[in-house]
Amino acid sequence: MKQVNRREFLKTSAAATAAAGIGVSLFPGMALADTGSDGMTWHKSVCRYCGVGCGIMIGEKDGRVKAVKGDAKNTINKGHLCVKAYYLPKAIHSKTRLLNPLVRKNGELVPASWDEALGVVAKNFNSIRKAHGGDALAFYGSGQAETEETYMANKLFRGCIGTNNVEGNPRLCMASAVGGYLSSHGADEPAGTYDDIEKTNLFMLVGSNTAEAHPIVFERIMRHKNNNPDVKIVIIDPRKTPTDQVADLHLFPKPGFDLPVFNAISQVLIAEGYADEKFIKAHTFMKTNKGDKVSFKEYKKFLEDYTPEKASVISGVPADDIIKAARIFGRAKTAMSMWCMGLNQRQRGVWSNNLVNNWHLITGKIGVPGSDAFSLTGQPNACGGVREGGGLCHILPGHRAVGNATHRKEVADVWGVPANRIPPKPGKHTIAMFQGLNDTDIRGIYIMCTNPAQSLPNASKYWKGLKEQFVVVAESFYPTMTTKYADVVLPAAFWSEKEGVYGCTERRSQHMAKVLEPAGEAVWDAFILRDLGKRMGFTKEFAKYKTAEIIWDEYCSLTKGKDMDLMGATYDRLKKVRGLTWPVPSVDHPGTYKRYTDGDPIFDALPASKKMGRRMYFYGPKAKEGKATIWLRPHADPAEPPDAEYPYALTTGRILEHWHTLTMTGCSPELNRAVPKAYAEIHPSDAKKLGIQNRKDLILTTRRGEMRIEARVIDRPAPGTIFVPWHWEEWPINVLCNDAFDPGSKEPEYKVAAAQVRKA
Amino acid sequence: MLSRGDFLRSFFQSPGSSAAKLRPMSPQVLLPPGSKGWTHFLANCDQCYACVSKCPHEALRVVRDSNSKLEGYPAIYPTLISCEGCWEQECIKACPTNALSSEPNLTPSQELFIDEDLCLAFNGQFCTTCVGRCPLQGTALFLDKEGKPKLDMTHCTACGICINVCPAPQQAIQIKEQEIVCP
Repeated sequence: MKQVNRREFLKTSAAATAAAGIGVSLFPGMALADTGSDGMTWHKSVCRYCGVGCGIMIGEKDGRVKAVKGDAKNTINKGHLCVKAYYLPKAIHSKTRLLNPLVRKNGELVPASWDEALGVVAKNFNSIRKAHGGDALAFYGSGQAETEETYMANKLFRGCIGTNNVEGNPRLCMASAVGGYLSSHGADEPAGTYDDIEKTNLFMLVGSNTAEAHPIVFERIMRHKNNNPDVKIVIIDPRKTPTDQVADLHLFPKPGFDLPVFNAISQVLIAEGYADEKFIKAHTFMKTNKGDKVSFKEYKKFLEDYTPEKASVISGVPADDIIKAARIFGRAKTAMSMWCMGLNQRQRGVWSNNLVNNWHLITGKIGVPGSDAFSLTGQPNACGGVREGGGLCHILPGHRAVGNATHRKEVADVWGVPANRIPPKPGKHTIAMFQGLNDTDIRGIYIMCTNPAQSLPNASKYWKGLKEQFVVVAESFYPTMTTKYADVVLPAAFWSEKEGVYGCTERRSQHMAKVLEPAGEAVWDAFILRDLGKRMGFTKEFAKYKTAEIIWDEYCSLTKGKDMDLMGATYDRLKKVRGLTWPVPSVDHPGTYKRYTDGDPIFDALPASKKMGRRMYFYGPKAKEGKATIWLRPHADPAEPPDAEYPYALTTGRILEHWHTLTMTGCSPELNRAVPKAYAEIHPSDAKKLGIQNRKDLILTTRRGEMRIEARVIDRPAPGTIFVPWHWEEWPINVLCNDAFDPGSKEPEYKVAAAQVRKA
Repeated sequence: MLSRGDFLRSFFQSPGSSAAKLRPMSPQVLLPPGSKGWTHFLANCDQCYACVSKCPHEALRVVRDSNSKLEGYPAIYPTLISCEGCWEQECIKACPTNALSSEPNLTPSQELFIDEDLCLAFNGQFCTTCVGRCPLQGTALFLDKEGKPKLDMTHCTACGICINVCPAPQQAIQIKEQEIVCP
């Protein structure tokens, strides 16, 4: 037996630490001496958690995942992992894994055979479809599902059942960024990649707690700043977070009142001569809310309403700070804006995205190394599977639109189904879908790899529909809040038990190896959907899908010639390289670092006449004449601003140690020890006023409910703001969140709710 | 070095035999907040446990380890529950003997250190849990240029929160052993 030292032992996380608990605590390094030895096989994969897309090596021995370690060859994380990923093996072999199908009989979920369970689902779905039409059925997927899995769901529900009620939880996190990119740049997803991090002079972190939500990106930002002290970091966020460790300037707008700040920064940029008028003229239109084109002069006039002084009155940010931030942005040679849920989960999420995109279009700080408007994604495959794979009610695979007859036909042809099977109108978006269950418009739903009963805003409102209608949940873990309402629960293979592709924030698609056989009777989600399709009578349509590669190849054929061309990203290639950033039109293409400019194969192929006099050409599906759009977006209050009755602003978010609804991180005692329960952060001045003591309970009330929760008196939230992390089933804060949504992106406003606080 | 088998065999033997020799190392403890060093604390505490009964977080406990020189004294076991440093200072107010006092004492009587062999951040991960939870984040505990946590004992109050939250398989922040001289 090869001896390893303590350091080696820690470098490879140990799945068996719990089992060997006594040994580890008494003789560190000894108990698992074989962990690093040669008997282990290492497989290349991608981290299961956030949207950063870190490369991970899975160490397997004797049919168990013993350890994971960062993939040193991966360009994103260069071998580093955050603490969540370190404990991933514990989730794989957790006691909470669901090992066999469950069917509800006499009110109880009881074990059943696959044959019986799929039979029940097929019979119910078919009878609902027959009696009420395809639109009485719905699919609710996930940004954590593989591209292949979402693709299968798309084919079953759109191509076979014939409904556009295909949604996924990225609606709750990324939809506003999609809307922002489409309206500003004409195509979804950022122009640059993470490679800009090491090339930039300025980070604008807006509505993002990067240190906790995207730790490895934060590490890269921090290293870059430490190596280059001139690099500036400006944060715009209503809360002080661990990200502030590296900040040069922090602007604290009141939650939901930041739009004027964004406009004011643009106002200062133009007034002080930082605008790149040549770039503006050649590359952009300026449009009002109604879509009318306006001149630069009119835009300047519009911005007069948003001088730093006026913005300061609405937002509570000192005018001097706004001017400082704008000057830092204007003076920086290159600038990279990064944003996350603080902008997206808003009633005016698309507008706030547009306003941040504006800074880059006004100053021409886009399309060059180190400059980009870069949206951070929350889930590992929200970009790849859902945004690109067409996993929302209004889009089809390959950045296609449901409303476009040609697009529908292209997809139907590849699927081998009649073109009129896909309805021409978009289906119900997430909130409408769950409202549809309440209203019996939807009578059957298939929920895959997500936990909406806990994660939806105003969640308790939607429990009624889940209770009453026919609910199928495909999930690796049991129980969850959603399985409480399930009529059938199907055991799904977990990460490392299935092959597939994840596409991360930077347009990079990466292959994940299958390392283990699925636990118990679990089956890969894509095969569950395939077999369900066959049981529903679509035998011919699902006959060919024998491997993940067949599904991937078919999906890639739908991206041919699109802005997100993946024809060069074959399984053969993806298994060898650390992912490829699209467009990657052929197997000899290395992938694209910057879109819309030199080096982008689509840009390079444009005729010279189109490129004349400009360095970028915005060729996306929504762009006209290759131009991006600078939007004149006015201020709009949040749906529920704090008032006399509910004077506090409740905002929610993630923490470093946990993820989503705890199905995975909850399996690790170490992570639970680090943060065992939910808490409400409250500013010391508010706590004093209300007589609330640190670590004592407070009662939080919104118009939707009330919750008793431990107070953490800390100067992180600004006075008047309460912050609660959302992970725990015992403290489901989302029940208190507002389900008002953005009229454009349909993304709900999790980030602002009016609340009362009192001592418990 | 004991083999696992030896350990387990002795574990199941009756106490008093060889198991006694195998008693786990006494857990590291921190003095209650407001204590002014070992000598002052041990000389003044009369073991009335008023502080223990008043602590709202049950962080203060009585040391029951007969091998410890602190046996019978109140202390904090940070691997179990750390001191929250609450403003109310119930423990200090309850102390009848001046063993604990609210006069600020900026030099903690104990020193903490990060065991780099145990810390995830020194072993290929990017872990910032302790820094994120330190009440004196940025001064007492901060990320260095390499993104690794660093303790500065000139600012640390030895509250023990970092020890408590450390998610490494074995908690990596430790208390420096000190010679305790009983008065």
